[in-house]
Amino acid sequence: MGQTCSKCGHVAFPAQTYGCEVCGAYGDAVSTTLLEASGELQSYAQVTKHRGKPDAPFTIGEIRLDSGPYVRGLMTDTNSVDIQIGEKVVGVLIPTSDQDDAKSELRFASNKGQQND
Amino acid sequence: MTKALKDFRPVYVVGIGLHPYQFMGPTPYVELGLTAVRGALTDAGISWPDVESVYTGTALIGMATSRIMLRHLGASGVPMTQVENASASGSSAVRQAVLDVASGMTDISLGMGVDKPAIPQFAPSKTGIKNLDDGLVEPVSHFALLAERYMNDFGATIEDFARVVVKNSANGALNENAQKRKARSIEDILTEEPLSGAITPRQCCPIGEGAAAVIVASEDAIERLGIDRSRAIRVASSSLTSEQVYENASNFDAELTRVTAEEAMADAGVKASELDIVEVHDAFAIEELFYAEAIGLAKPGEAPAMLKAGAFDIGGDVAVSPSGGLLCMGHPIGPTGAGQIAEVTRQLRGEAGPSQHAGAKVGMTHMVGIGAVCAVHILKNDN
Repeated sequence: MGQTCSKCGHVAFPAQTYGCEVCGAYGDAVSTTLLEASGELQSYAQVTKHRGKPDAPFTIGEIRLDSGPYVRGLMTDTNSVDIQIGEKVVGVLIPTSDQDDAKSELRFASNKGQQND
Repeated sequence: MTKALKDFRPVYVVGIGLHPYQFMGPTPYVELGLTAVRGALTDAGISWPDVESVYTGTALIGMATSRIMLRHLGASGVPMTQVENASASGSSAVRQAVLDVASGMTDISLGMGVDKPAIPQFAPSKTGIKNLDDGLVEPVSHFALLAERYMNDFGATIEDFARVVVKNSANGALNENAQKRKARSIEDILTEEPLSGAITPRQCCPIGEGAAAVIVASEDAIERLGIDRSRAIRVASSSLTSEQVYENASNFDAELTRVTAEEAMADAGVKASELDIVEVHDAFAIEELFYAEAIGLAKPGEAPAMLKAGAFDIGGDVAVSPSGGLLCMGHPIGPTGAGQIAEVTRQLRGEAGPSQHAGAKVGMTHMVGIGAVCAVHILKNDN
């Protein structure tokens, strides 16, 4: 979920209710919107040492969503050799590894030859 | 109408003092801070009751740092305030001292920083806003992402990042106030296991402890107290800005730096090409390359080639982080920005000993604090 400002048109991620970071509009002027989890990979980093969860290694991607905002999240692939800056990526829902928690988490994956619902 | 520092009366750095930066040990912050302030008073040749306001940059010690520490100089009743601005705390403390003197509220003020390592309380994690990258992107990974992009865009390599460490470790080895004093080779970095992306441990600054103090004064005070005018270094500008929304720039640290440095240089009437000394916020080696370009010392993508050619060495075109920078002098948080101003002052006085960049007349200090804010000062030797 992201946020759109009806006063200046700024689209932001993540959603929050405090006010628009560009023009300061708040209240009814800002509304939460569904942002398509697709965009272009700006950069990535394979994390080999990390304090806390998740356990390393994992790969972080920085994605510029088609709707504008930059987001950072986990890539599906923990081995970054197959991903390239500039390629299209989409969000996929992956079941979390925590067995007690039947939730899923959003990760990003390369969009080449791969379609997701 | 708003004014810049140049529109007020001149302000000079007249005293500097440091407690060497060091790995965490048993020394109480009181001793760290007093060592730096007594050093600065001696350097200026003035006494504690001459100081009319005090700002202490500190992010990790806790409430009420200043008076508990400084009462041991004699409880003079001087106004005291703590300044917390993340990594830019010390820079911001000195800025407040400068503004007091510039405005005429005081003739002599002290801006200092002191800290000891502690688990920080981070405001950005308490906003109540859930994000996709919560707990995912530590600072090292933030810079690993930016480094990967930089390598992709400009063909830079890990050797280029290693050369920043080689230069700054050689500089740190010459600086008796530096936390890390061992000169490193490119191989020392290339043989390390990465932490995240291309970033290895020696490309990251150490967090330690220490203190730095900067005494600033008006011309009236220099005259009245007989302070050595030939060692007084003018604060030509002081800029502090906060991050805006940069719709097309994911490297907001660099964009924020560009905006702040431009303002500081315009206020001081100085071009990037006229800077002799630049102390940048190189908490990670890659940052030196980003900020050298953002400040205008190099064109986009050209900082690695300039670094390799020796342009940023002591004795090069512009000495970048001749103190060793955050990478090797260290980054004790509160003191760091004040320490940069002390180090640039040493250089502009021609008192930097083995680290001296010959003929240094104009210097810049630069710190970014998470959030983000950016503080840039320009100092000039008018003599």
